[in-house]
Amino acid sequence: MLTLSNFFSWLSGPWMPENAGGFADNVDFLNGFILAVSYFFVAVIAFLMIYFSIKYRQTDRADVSHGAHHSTAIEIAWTLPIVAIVTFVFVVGFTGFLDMAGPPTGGEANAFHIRVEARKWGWTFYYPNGGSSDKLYVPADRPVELTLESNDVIHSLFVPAMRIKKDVVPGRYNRMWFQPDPNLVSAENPRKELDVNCTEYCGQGHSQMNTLCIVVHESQWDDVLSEINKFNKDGLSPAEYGEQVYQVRGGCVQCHSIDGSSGTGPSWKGLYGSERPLAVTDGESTVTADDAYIYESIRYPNRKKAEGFGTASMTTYGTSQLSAGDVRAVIEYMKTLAGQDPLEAFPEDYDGKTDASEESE
Amino acid sequence: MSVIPTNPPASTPGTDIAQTPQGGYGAGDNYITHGKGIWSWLLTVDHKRIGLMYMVTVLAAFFVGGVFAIAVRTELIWPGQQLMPWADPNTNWKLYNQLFTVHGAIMVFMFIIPSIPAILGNFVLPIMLGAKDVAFPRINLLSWYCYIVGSAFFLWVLAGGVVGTVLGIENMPWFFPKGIDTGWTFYTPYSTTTNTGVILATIGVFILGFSSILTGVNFIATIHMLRPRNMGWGRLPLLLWSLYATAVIQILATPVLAITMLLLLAERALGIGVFDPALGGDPVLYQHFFWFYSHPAVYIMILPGMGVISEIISVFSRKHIFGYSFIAASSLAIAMFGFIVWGHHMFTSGQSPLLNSVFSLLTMSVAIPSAVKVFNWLATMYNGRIRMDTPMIYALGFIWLFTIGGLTGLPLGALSTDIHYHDTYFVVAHFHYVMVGSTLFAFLAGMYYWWPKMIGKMYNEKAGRFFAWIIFIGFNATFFIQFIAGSQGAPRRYADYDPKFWKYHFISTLGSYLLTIGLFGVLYNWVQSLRSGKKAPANPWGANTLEWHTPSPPPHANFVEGHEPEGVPPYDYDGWDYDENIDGYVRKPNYVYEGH
Repeated sequence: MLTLSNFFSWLSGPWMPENAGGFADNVDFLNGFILAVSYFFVAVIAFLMIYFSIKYRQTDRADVSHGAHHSTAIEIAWTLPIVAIVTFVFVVGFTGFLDMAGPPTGGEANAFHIRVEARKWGWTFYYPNGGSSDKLYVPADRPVELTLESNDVIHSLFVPAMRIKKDVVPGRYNRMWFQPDPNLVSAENPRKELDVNCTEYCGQGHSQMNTLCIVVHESQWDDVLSEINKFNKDGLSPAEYGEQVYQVRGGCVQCHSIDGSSGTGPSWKGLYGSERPLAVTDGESTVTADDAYIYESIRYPNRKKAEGFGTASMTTYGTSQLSAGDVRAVIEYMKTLAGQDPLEAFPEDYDGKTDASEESE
Repeated sequence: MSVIPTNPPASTPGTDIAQTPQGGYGAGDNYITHGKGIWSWLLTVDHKRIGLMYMVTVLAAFFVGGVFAIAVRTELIWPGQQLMPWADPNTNWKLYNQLFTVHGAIMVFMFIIPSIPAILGNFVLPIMLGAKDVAFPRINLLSWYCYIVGSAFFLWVLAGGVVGTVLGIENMPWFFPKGIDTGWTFYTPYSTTTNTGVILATIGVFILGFSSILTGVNFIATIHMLRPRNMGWGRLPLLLWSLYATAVIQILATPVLAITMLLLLAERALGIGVFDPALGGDPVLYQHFFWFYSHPAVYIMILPGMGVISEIISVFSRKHIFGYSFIAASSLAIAMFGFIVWGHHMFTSGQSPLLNSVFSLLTMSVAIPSAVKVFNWLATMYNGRIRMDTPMIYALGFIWLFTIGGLTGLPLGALSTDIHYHDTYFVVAHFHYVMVGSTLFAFLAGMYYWWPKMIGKMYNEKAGRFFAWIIFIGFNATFFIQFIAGSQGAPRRYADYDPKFWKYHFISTLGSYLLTIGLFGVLYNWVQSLRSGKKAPANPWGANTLEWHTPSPPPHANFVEGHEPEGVPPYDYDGWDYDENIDGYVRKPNYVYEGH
């Protein structure tokens, strides 16, 4: 049955990306209404321009047209429909926006909470069980609420298929939520991948700051949670855990290769223990890449930049982003890339702040 | 200095002097021949010469900004890296980020904002008022020098950055800055942490802002103080109403930009925390400051264009403008509304839903005066005597582009749809339709319309019309497709993109090449006119605003000696007869306006 509401959503069809739930129904309806208005006015205005230009084309250059050139009644007559249209557009847009402001009150307890960290140029998603991932895994059958934090500059999280977007602003926690369309996935097709983009310009790697939102059917959700949980350090050697930090938690992989190829930052291959020429020579011209130098370069990246990377601008990793244990794990991982032997295990009392207990700080 | 015309008509009020065919003044003095040598230009206080100097420099800025636009579009023609295939992707992205920043900054601050007010406004505003010059001629010259100095800063910064990036030089000498890669918006904290030349660029913006303020001050004083006898506010040509509204915005909003830039400098150079949360600041505060200027600035760009179109639609329809008072009032309404809608740039920033809804509602209100203008222009055409000369083609192109640009503002002003469209190519397409499409078309319309007056020569009409169509097609091909890309979710300011967006980018880039060809065609058209154009009559279009009551080009003092201009009904065309010998209009002797 073709209702007006279906008609407007149908008009939106060729323009909009796939509808994966979220706020697509409201957005597509309003967008369709605006499209209908736009098609109408563009057609009328274009028709009148062309029609007038032909019908009233000049034949005698001296001729002057005399007609009415003022009518308050006409001005009011064509202003009123505009007022009505924009009022309607505002109201529909406003109500749709209020829905975006927070999960429905009744279902609040049911919302699944994920903490999002954005940095130049990648995302890390932290789950209630202490696990983390570089892709956004969400359950299909309940609302998802995200708390957004930035480690450096402003980013913006955009899921086009959900029609939802929110800036990730340093110094404040922004929240966003959405409810995926439960019919996206089924027991047979348990996972659905959707694009996630950064939509606030954040520098050199802005266009690479993309990931996936993976909507997971309930039959697989527990598997996903335990899969994510492997990024906990339990059961891993320091170097293995360091590799996870490199890949996911720190997102170092965005700028540092491990195969010797040059990226935004220096490659880690063979880096550990080598002599590093400095970009700005202030007394010393080289420094040995030992534990102290690597620790300093993670906590204070601008102090001693290596030659060739003097203009690179790395995210500063404070203790809230990477604990001392995380940094230790990264150093052990770097040792393996330089052919050196890493620690076999975390020392018993060694700053074990790499597990979920840290998240509550 | 000035040569007295061979047969000066009597200067009785109500009669007019420009009726003498241009031959009568041809051998005489005009503002171009009035002084010789480079210093007679660089130290001139003649508003017409300053207008021409603005024309040369602003068009040069347009060329540079255009080169960067083409570089940006070329990078995006396919996924992957096009501009520096030999370099690693990082360098390519760095270059792209500098290119789009420089393109935006040059086009906004050095081309669009000064285009119509500083070139056409400077030239015609005093003549339309029957005045000898603007109220403060020396300040007018100072504004041009502010423009030059500010632009020099800009070009210096960008040249260093682009050259350094292309050549792969890491440590440029101090006098060779590192470019800017912040986007023309300079959002913090990116702009306070990037190691590119933000400080120099903001100094450039600061100085350019003063150029804009000085022009605004001059226009307001001139319109208030130098109107001639019989020109009440009801006889002010609509271009002047729109320039007046523009000047109000320039004076009130631009200082906020200057302050914002100073705060940015204070944070970046002195470490005073204003916007950086680590220092107790708020990055969104920067966005409020920035858009408090930059949203009204959008109306600085479009309002003068609307004024130009109001003149041209009426003149080329040979019919009094419809709804004069509504068009004039809508200019002021747009200027006012423009100040209270800036928050719609921050719907996704996390500001409170209350603020968002207020800004959304206010934004919607801008649709009303905009629609009023379009309807009045169409009503003017109704039952007119329409002549499709080049200015009119651009004017109709303007209405088409502005209609699309305006309507696509609706989903950006409405809250829920904006959440989807924010920072996608939809926004890029929207503001190019309004800022480039509309303002550029109005600028070209105005340039063609006043060209005979400014230069004293006609242009090749056939070539003018032909390239107008090329530009129209090229522009729509470039930007309409971006609405679809943006709706599909393509984020803006991406140096590289998902291959699924390839076809949109490919068509857009081809369109931009066509647009470029069209623009060079216009340049060719103008250069050809300069070299060998037919001499222009005083009034080639049969318009009645005062600048057509004086020879082309006007004498140094704007009007022939002995002619005391008076206010006339600007849209009354009955007083002119067509003379095919000069291909222009001459004043009917002893014509007296009786009202219609």
